[in-house]
Parts: sequence; structure tokens; C-alpha cells
Amino acid sequence: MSSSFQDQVSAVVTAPKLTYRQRLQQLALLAEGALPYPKLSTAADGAMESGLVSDLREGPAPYRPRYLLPDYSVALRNGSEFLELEPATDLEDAVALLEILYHHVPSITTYPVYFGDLDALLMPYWDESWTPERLDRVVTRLWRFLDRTIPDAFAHANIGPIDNPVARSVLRVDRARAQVVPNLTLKWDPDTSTEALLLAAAEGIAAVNKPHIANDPLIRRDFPEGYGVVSCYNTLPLGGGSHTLTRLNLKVSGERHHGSIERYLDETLPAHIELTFEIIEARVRYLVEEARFYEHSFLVREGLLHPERFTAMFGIYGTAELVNGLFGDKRYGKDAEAAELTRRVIDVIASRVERREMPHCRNGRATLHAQSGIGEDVGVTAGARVPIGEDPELVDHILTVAPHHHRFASGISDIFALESSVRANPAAIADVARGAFAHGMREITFNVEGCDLVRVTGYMVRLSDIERLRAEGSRINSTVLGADSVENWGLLDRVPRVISTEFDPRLGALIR
Amino acid sequence: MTAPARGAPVRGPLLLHHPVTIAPGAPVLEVAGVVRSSAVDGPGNRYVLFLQGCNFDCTACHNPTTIGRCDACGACVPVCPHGALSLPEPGVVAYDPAPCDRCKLCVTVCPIDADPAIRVVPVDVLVEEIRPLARFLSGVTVTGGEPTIQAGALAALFAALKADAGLGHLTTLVDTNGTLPPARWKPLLPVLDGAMVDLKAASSDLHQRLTGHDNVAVKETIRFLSSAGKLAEVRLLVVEGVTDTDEELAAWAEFVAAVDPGIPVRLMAFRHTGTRERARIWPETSPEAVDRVQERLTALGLTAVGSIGVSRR
Ligand code: SF4
Ligand code: SF4
Repeated sequence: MSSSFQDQVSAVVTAPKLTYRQRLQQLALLAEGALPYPKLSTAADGAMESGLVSDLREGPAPYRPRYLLPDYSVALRNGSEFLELEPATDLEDAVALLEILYHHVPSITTYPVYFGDLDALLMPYWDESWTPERLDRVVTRLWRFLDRTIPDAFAHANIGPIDNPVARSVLRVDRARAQVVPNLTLKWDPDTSTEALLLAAAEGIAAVNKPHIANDPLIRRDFPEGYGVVSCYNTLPLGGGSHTLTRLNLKVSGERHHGSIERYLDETLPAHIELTFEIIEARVRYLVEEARFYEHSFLVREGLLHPERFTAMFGIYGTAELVNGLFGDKRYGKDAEAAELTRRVIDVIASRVERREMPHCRNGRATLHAQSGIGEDVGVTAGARVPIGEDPELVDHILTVAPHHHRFASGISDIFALESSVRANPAAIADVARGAFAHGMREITFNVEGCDLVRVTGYMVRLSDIERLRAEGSRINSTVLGADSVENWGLLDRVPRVISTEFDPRLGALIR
Repeated sequence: MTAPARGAPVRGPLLLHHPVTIAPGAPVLEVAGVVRSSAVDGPGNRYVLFLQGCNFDCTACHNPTTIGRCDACGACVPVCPHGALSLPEPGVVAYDPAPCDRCKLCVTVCPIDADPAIRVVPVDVLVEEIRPLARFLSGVTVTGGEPTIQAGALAALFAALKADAGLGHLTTLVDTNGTLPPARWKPLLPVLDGAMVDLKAASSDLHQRLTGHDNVAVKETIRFLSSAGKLAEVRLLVVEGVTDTDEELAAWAEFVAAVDPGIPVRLMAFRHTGTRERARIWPETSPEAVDRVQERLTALGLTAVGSIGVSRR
């Protein structure tokens, strides 16, 4: 054992602001970090070293998938042999069963990222005898359980697209409690959702910046077997998930290129895409063939997860810096030529991802994802977003980014800042969401000025928590990430437009 | 005389990116400005058109440069630092939006609170401006200035929207001082979804002091629009110590309740932003004062639906 390793372990063990559980997580990361990386070519090694490609600190020896979306309905219907549980008998029993199941679902954060489509899970147990008040009491207790036992704001509950009493109760309770956990997505379908459901969601957004809204028909085309929205706007197959998320930094990719735009698209970019594929493949093979997660998980054995429904996420970010850098004088978000080049860049990447065979993946393919960034990404714009501070007017902004959305099967995010005046007129939020979907947006998220609960990339942070963080430590892991983002991106100076971070498992602010 | 820019090319970042020729006789609106996405001008997200010209001259006006209509005196032409204004012929002040940087120096020298840098825009061009935004909108609100001064072209705009397959879902609202006589409202009504009428004061004396006119016509308009089912709301500008006295509020409520106690009432907080020097004799309205008025009017039987311009955190 090197003494620097011992020093790192000791720093974690004796970090007074970390809870016991947080220390345990950090120790696991350190231990995994002591292992060698799966074998890569020299070029791929170099790509990771230089920051061209990054595995988002997933660790060198993946032993659980990054994101898992168990189909909890299987266990509610059949019970679980492994957990020695009977099928759910009524609505309250179903909630209790879910609470047990969550405890057994890992992810990159160690906590589950997906709590299920709660209304679809619970409505089979609902009947007319459930008054809204009684239902709200049950949902309130579930919300309290989630926030207090799963301190991670990447954890996501879904509702919709059909309007139903459980979905309404979830919206009411979520708005009243204003909690960081769970994150919440409404699936919206203009044909089957009611206007009243969208308006109820808009009222939630006006109060607590939740829910996020997903364009159900568009996403369902990519995942006919069903899907969930988890973590930072990731749309992934239900009963599956993603082995890994590895991302290509397009800003760095552009800086490495010397020559014409055409040569970039024909040679440099494809070479960088190939390096990313190599790293993704090495990680997937390690997880599936060496760590053999799928062979020993009861979630697979009992049919909540299907290994063939796991994809691998090919992330990109820094699209704006790439395009602006290639041109020199045209800006993405402003000039039509830049928008067209963005379209071509995304087309090159998306069509290669759609063609390239990827072992152990759903349909034998990875899926493209516009990655929201992590706290340390200073000066690189998330995914295919317009850089902060250059955002055009709301509708122009939506029309700039919407054409790209359908290419990102595993999710893309843009956050739109709204002035606090919409709090008195939530119908305006519903209008903007409806328009965005009509123009092909895959998902939409708002940050309304003046809410205590704000979105940092996909997850929620309470501004009042961040103020307390450095003094006392935080019960919620993601608050730490939010604090990094607040400092690195000037979030507090600019509440109406939020930033991109995904996540940084170091809990750095507390160990330092 | 509506001299500015008539027949001149119309283009600019807000309205158009290419010049337009106006066909003779085509309905045109004098547009002072546009907000393409607003949450404070009626229900839902709305496209808001500010029309130039008002027949009141309210001390508290928040948009004073939309009051006057240019009489082509020419005083502003030499002050424009960018050559955007010219006198191509006597009695015509032409405005070219291309070099204009919206410094607004011209409006500071205008003796009649007019703005030479407005656009005269044909109705069909406005319709095409609204079209790409349509799926994001609940409707269009026209304000000003006093939009009903241009009632003819306004009716043409609303009619064009209502007749269009892609735009027919948009609701049409106007924000008005209520002075247009009923006979002139009538042609607008079939294509108007609602009017938001300011009743600045119930007592005629106070109204005279605040606006320069009595309120007989305004009250008549409120009664008329209410009976026609087109009164979306009545608005009261709360100026502390001026429009919120017990006596005034009682008279205001008595009038509105007599028309219909169910009329939605919205309170506007008086703010200094945008107003002229002579409005600064009054303090900005506090949230507490707005709350007090809201309680008072509710107690007097009215239906208060909210407020605009109140800054609360
Ligand atoms: S000073 Fe006023 S009235 Fe005279 S030309 Fe200019 S805008 Fe018109
Ligand atoms: S705002 Fe008026 S003064 Fe300023 S550039 Fe435009 S026309 Fe000229």
C-alpha cells in the first residue's frame, strides 16, 4: 500500500463532515480506484488522459451498471422469492413493497435512480374508496421515506401520461413538500394526457421547479418496450438501463483539429468517435464478462431487469464550443450557419452510434446522449445546449435546440429560465411546454426565478441548503455537487438560467 | 396625420428581417413595440403588441413615449446619431430601422411624447410574425398606447387571426382605457375575446386629475362590454394615498358591483420605472398596500383575481 493511498483513506475515515454512509461510499471508490483500468489501446489511453474522452469517474472496475430501471410491477404482481415477499395485496402494501425493493437497487451512486412510474404501479390497487386526502397521506409518507433514506437527487419518480388520481396526488404532495428527493418527471402525450394534468404540472413548476416534462410519443418511438426518465434527463428502457455513460468532449475534439470543417467531419471527428466506442466497449465487457453483475442479481433472475434491455450511453458535450471554434465568427444560438453545422456534427455522431455494433447492448447498439456536464466542467457547455449568457429569446432558444432532440435516444436536456411573473400564470408554462413538444423537443425543464428549490442540470438543490453546507455538512449528497456548480458557474448570480453538472462522486467539498 | 415611415421599408429585429412594401389601402398598425412571449398580459403565454398613440395623458403613465402620434415637426431628425431619421419631403419623417440602435435619443426631444422610431406594419405582415410562435401561445394581447384608436386595423388583425387555420386557437385581448364609444366597439366584438379596461378612478374629479378626462365614457364602456360578454377584467392602478382612500375604493366597488360583482378585478402597483418626472411625486406602491386594497375590494363584494407589478420575494 502506497502511503498516498493510506493518506486518502485516512482523510475519508476522519472527515468529520461526512456521514457514516458517505464515508463508506468514498472508501469503496478509493478501493475500486486502486485497480487497473480495462486494457485499452495507447490512443484510447491518451484520449482519457487528455480529457478528450471521460468515463465521468465511474471507476476503473465497474461492478454494477450505471443506471438501472427495474420493472417493479413484476415484483408487485409476483412477490419476490429472493426477498421472501408475497405479491402486494392493496395500495399501502404495494407502497411498502416498493420501499423494500428500492433498498436493493444499486446504481453508479449506490442509490436507485428510478423509483418507477408510480401511478402505473399503484393504480391497479386504487379504487373509488380512495379519497384524495387518504391518498395524499400515503404519498406524503412515501415522499418522506424517499427523501430521508435515499439522499440523492438523481433518484427519479415518473408519472403520466394518463391523468389519474395517483398522478394528481403525486403532483399535490410534491409541490406541498418541496423536497429535493425525489426528482420528478411527467410523461406528456398531447393525445392521451389531459390539459388539466399539464396545468397541474405547470403549477408544480411555478412553485418548486418540478416536474420535468417528457415528450411521451417521441420517446416511446425509441423504446416501444417502455422507458423511464432518470437521473439527469436520461431516457432509458424500462426493465433495463445503461451499463455505462462515457462522454466525448467536443470542445477538446475541435481544439485537436487543424484544417477545414469538412476534414473535421470526415476524419478527425470519426477518429474521436471510434476512441470513445473503444472505451465504452472495454467498460461494458468488464461489467458483463468480468464483474458479471447480470449473472448474480436477483433483479435479473426474477424478471425485473432484462440484460438485453441494457444499452450503453455515448455522451457528448461542448457542442457549442466546437461549433463556435470551427467557425471563429459564427455563434451557435445566433447564426443559422452555426445551427446547420451543429446539425451536421450531431448527424455524423448519431449515425455512427446507430451503426456501430456494441456487445451486450440492447439491439447491439449504444445510444446517443447529450451529457449535462459535471461540477468541474468550467467553460464547456453541456450537451448540445446554447452557452449560458448567450441564450436567445425563449422561443428562438427552443427553436434552435429542438431540431436536434430526436437524435438523442438516451436523453438531452435544455433548461429554460422563466421570470417569477409566471408563478401567477402557470398556464404560460404549459403553453411553452406544449409548443416545445409540437416543435420536436424530447424533454423540457424550467427554472423559475425565485424558487428555493432550483435545478442544477437535472437534479434539485435547495439554495438554503447550500448556504448551510460548508458549515454543517449535508444530509443530501447532491447538495455538495450543487455547491461546486454554484461556485464554478455563478449559479447564484444567475438563478434564472441553470447550469450543467452531472455528478461528481468525490464529495470533494467536504473532504478538502 | 400619420407621417412617420408610411410607405418606407419596415424591418428590424423585433418585427421583420426584410423590407416590406405596403400595398395602398392595406390595413396597417402603428406599432411601438412587441413582446413575443409574456406571462403578464392575460391568461397563458401571449404575444403582446404595443400600439402607438393615446388619447389620455395620465400622470402615472408607464409607457409615456407611446402617448403621442408624430406630427412630423422634424425636431428629432438632427439628434439621431445614426442617421435613422430623415425628412424625405415636407410633412414626412421617415424612419429606417436598419441603422437604428434604439438609443431613444429621439423620444427625449419630442415635444409631444411621440416616437419616430415606430413601425407602420401591415396586418398581414403581423400575422406572419405571429405564425411561427403560434403553438407556444394562448393568444395575442394588444396594448399601448390606446389600441382602440386604431380600431379598424385592429379588427382586421383579429379577423385575420381568427380566420387562419393555424392561428384560430389564439384568443384576442385588448388592454384599453375604455374611451372608445360603443358604436365603434361593435365591429371589433365578433373577433375580440375580451377587453381589460382600466377604471383609474370612480369619482369623476379624481379621474380628471389622473388622466385629464372625466370617466363617463369609461363607465359606459364597462357597462357595454359587460352586457356584451366581452369584459375580461377591470383594472385599478393603486397609487397610495390617491386611489386607495376608503371613499374612493367604496365608490369604485359600488360602480363595478352594480355592473356585475363577478367581473374579475386586477390591481396594478404603481412603479417609477418608465414614468416621467411628474409622476415621481407619488411613492411606488408597496405589496402591503396592494394587499389592503385587495382585501377591501373583496370585502365590498368584488372578485379580485390578482395583481401586476408587485415585487415580493
Ligand atoms: S419630434 Fe416628435 S413629433 Fe416631431 S418628428 Fe420627431 S417624433 Fe415626430
Ligand atoms: S432610437 Fe431614435 S435617435 Fe436612436 S438611433 Fe433610433 S431613431 Fe435614431
